[in-house]
Amino acid sequence: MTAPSLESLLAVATEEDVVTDELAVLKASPTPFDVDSWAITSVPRVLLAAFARAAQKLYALVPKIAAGGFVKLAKGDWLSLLSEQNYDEERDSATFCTRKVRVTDAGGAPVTIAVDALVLKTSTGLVFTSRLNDDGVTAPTVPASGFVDVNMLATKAGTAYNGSSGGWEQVTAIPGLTFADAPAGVVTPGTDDEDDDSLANDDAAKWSTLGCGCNDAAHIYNAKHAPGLEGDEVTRVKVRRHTPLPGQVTLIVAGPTSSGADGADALASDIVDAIQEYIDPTSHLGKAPTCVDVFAESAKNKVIVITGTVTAVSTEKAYAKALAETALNAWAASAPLGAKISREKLIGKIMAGLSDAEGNDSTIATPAADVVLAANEVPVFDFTGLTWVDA
Amino acid sequence: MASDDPTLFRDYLAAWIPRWMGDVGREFGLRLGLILDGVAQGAIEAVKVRFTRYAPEDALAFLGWERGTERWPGESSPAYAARLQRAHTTASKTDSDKGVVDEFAAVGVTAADVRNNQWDWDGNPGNVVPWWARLWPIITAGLGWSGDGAWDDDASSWDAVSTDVWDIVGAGVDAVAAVRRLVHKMTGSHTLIPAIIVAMSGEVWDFPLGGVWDDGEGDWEEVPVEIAYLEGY
Repeated sequence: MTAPSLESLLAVATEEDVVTDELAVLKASPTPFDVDSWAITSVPRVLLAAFARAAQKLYALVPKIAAGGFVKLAKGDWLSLLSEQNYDEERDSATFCTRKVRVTDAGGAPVTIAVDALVLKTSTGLVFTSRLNDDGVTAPTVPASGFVDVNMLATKAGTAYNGSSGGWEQVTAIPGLTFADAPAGVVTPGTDDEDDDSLANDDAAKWSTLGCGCNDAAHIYNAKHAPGLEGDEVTRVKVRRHTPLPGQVTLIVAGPTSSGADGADALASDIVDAIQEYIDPTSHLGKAPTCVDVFAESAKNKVIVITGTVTAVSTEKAYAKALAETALNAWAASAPLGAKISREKLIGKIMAGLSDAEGNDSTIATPAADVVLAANEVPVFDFTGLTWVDA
Repeated sequence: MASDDPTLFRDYLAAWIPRWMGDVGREFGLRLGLILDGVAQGAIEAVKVRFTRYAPEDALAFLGWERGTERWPGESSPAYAARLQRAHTTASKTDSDKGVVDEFAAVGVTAADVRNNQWDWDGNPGNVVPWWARLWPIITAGLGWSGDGAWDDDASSWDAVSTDVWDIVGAGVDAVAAVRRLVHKMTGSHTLIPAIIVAMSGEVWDFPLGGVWDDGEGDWEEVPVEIAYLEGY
């Protein structure tokens, strides 16, 4: 028997598909059933429909089973299982956001806030509870007629808790206090569960660990998996062969964020140090083969200043501006080292949230052309010079 | 198959239908059983499809992506599936001379590696810093390329994306790129590869006949010889 194609196994059958199959099979009997004469409300058609409803649940398992064998195709729990069992890779769980909230006393007595004693919610109903001070020992105390910045922990994990609070409302009932975002804002951003694409890439990257550990793929894997890293601090690695000398290797590393001054390191030094210790053959943690000099180096920020004017109809302007800034930041945070930043693509992202309505337009002065980053550079977009005006 | 121990739904349902429903009822049950048998077979195939021995054509690319093993230009499905099956072994040999040679052999290409201490390429032989890391893969058969009969007779450069790489005839862009990617994957990042040498006729420094330097004639001696260079790393 000819094996079915993967595509056919991945096809999801509907109840109607199953009924169609049923009718075709009955019609193909050596003593064919006269299915065409069966009214939709006839007993056999109703029985077939009921059968199809149950059988479709079985049909639906087939594509899940098929996809579940491929890390590129498996989704959700199927991929988690495959990753765990075949690659010893766990899906990174979502983490909780911690942020500072300034708590001000309106003129009463000092108030000490124990863990969980203060519960606040944002304007969108996201709930945070109080935590100890940064020393991890003492509880924050609001001085009389003064203020203190309190660590507040999200009650659920995820990135949804990282956004603007929109103002704070107390859920508990501690009197005489007011609340506002502290300057420090989000101290530790929350993260979502690792997505399927990221986990699948981790699985595939694991193959590089089977060799001696010194080809490009192995170096990239090691840079992303140095002990002490949480798992997502390093997302971009460029292997520079014969750098600084022939026979030596330098890994340029960057993370999933994009900020900082032009020419500044894109990645914190402690992260780079952790990688260096891991890949240094003289280190007790060394992952590089003996006699191979491998160096870790942070990527450098390349600030790309965007100037110009976006003219937008007033009903679309705020949404389009927010969308553009989010898209640009996401692009910068994921652009490969040494990437070419296309001016056309950049303008496309700026205009993505605007309709074809008359009056929507843009004049982008800079960058005036595509920007080609150096091999050790990652982009940071500065769009403070991009003006949004009403059409 | 005994009806009291059915392994097929069509047998089970046909046997389960009461006798009073007659042949029509039995046939009806059998036909519905066929549907369920189809689903069961689909589930079996859905499990098998992930294994290289059974994987259909369109599943190979996904296995290849997962295992970091790209399909060689013109490689047949059975050959690619076999190579995917050996991916674990192949991966364990990355960063080694044998890894390069074996992976070329797996796609039907005969090759050898020459290290810096095995010949005097440019007056910097031996294990001397910074030249110790140099390595030249030398391909002697299997690519199906040929020389144009003249050394350096045109403006071809050390250009790996050219379709006419230093006097090669028949080397398409995809094939040249595949050769370079294979070498890139199977060698360590610290390995300095000045060039990938393709010998299309004759004997280059005793390849493929005598191994490395071992017949005492180590020279560009077996004229005529046609070689080409693909840019290294």
